[in-house]
Amino acid sequence: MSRKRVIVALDSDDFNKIKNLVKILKNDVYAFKIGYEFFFNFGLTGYKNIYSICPKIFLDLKLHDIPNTVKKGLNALNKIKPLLTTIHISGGDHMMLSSKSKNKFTKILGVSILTSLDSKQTKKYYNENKISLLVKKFAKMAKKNNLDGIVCSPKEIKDIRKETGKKFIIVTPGIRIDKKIKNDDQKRVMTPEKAIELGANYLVIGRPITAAKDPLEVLKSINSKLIK
Amino acid sequence: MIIKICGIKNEETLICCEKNNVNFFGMIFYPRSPRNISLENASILQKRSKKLNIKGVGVFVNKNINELEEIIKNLKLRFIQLHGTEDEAYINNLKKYDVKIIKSISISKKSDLSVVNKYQSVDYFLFDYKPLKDELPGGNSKSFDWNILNHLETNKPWFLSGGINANNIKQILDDINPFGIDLSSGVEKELGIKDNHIINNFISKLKNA
Repeated sequence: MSRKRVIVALDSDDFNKIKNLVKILKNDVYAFKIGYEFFFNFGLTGYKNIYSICPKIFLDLKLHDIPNTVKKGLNALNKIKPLLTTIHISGGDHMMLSSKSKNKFTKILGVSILTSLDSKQTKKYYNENKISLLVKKFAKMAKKNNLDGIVCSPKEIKDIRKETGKKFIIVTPGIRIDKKIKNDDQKRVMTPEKAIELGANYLVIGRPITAAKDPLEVLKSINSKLIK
Repeated sequence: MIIKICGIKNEETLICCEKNNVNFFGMIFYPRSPRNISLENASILQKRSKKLNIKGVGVFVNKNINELEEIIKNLKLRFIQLHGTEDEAYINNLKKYDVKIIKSISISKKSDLSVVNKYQSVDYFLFDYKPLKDELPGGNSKSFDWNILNHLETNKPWFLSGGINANNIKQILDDINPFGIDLSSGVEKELGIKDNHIINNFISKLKNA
């Protein structure tokens, strides 16, 4: 296990800004997260440009299709060697099983339930209004179908860790470092220390670092709290 | 000629290698390999080697780069051998640790040599037998057709690897005379177990070749 725990989300449409951030932060991150906004603005060329500066990428494209399509997509994705990538657990057993690659460079994480869905929506689309139950079930299925880990909200970390054991990778977004944010204001957010304590392996943090006046200082301060 | 023996797991073998003027010993961090070493044992060997005239090489296969960085720092490694599909960006990222990189290249035909041009930042190449699908990335006791190396174009120093043993070392010296050789199964009594008598015998054959 690496001692570096922070994945910095590169969600921006300003390539030069991103590139500078990567140069400044590259020695202190676990990885940089590239998602839809980056990928559909800057494409593979942008990806390769960032990769050449720091080959530690979490390519978060949340694949979801029939097993063969996902498998072939991942075969191509493996060639650009991200450390982590994502598929939807709701793609089903066969999709997850067929996603396993011989190339172990890239770990595959399952996306559980989108954090934007409330209990009414999960009732409507998954016939279950207890989100925590649903997420636990999804985590269990992800492990059973040989995924390497899961992406989940901070409040689900504890249950998932219990359900999936020590080796399953847990990545969580929803991290806030500003102590002024009231708990009741952001029910699904958590401090980095707490998330790690509960069993997360890696934390995805975007704006609290990228929009800071001194991003490196903020990152280093988070790292120092996480290394015991 | 530089000699490297790969897959060392204990101090006794390390000392035998040093007595035989072996230059490098390889520590394999690859769980699927019968020669895999734990971080704890590697730390013992690495510390011991600092007082000896032999240098440790950490051998990895597509290792998560963050984990590899931790191992480099923990063991104070100065030499890294990469046996997977690691690319130039991966290698460049390691250069900040002041490590020398040995990149292994699997060979089964002439065109396999062309990848050497992709690796500008490596310090040494290591040419090895190209494993079949179900074989290990190295240490399969098998050789490739060494004549292929006649077509090699590189200014970087390189090691020959793959099935080298006391029976073919004379031919290697006569026909190829590489910068270095890398042995593993050729000095083992059984899979993954090095034997000091076989090492002594090999070195004596090498000297008399």
